[in-house]
Amino acid sequence: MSIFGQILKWVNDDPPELFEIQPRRPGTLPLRRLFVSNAIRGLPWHEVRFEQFRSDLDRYASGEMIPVRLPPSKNVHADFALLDPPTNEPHIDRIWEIRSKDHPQLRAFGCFAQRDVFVALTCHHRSELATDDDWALAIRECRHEWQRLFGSEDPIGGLDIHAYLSRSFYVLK
Amino acid sequence: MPTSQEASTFLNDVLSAEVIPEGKMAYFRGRLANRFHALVLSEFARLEAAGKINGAKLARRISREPAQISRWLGSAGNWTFDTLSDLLLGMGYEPDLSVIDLRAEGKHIQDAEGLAHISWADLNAANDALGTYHRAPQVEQPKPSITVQAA
Repeated sequence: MSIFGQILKWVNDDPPELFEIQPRRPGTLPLRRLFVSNAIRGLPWHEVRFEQFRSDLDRYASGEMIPVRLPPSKNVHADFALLDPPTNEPHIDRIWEIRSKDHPQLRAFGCFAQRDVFVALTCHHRSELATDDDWALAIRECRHEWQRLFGSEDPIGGLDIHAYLSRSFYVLK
Repeated sequence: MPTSQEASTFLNDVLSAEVIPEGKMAYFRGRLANRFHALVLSEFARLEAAGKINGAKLARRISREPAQISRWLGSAGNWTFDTLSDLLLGMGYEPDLSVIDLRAEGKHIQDAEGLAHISWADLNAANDALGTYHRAPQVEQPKPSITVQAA
């Protein structure tokens, strides 16, 4: 089964493990696909801060221009960033972060299953990520969740942005 | 968490509310900030690819540090109207604004219901045919309500 087939399996499972988020923008089709875990779906989306966060997710899904950071850049400002693996665990790579910078800042972690298909698996308040150990734990948690859902199938990896996104991105140096 | 099948409900809730819920307003505020940011970033990317500007040049033109330009291009998080104006002006532009009637957009959703179920294969095929820039098949995209104009 393809990895996208596995995603659809989780979406259609009873109860579902993944949910597709499509942009609320009137009349807009999702030009990128965004799936979220139960953990993210369970966030308090009716609250003001999470409504703002939803607008950030919709920006991705609606195919609008997004700022991206890829290693070795250390740019900490891009809203979408491929994270460096933890220092002692270089095999835990391929984890992306969506940075939502209204206050309190939020960080969603996930992976690209294929080009233009992102699976957001975990979410933290930025304030919970104070140390390198906190980040390593968050990255490990995301990768663990990926493995729980997709087993030995790896997410997209590497430093070629075109492997992740087909359009409307700007890679910040 | 709402999905697009509930988009018309979401919009109807906004349009029919006596008092628009704070959360809904927060969503549209975030959406507007993101759209302005995407607009500026798109123009910057286009001009940079054409060799007409870069971060350092833009920084000089608007008397800012290059690091500040990098911060602004990375996220809409700290933008103000001044930021928008300065960045666009630094590239030789100003916004050309118009508004759309959300009630008409709500009608557009109802008309397009069913098209929301266009398959990913269809979208991919369209992508392959069109190259990097995607246009959704069979659906007339809403006209952009914010564009830029040479200053």
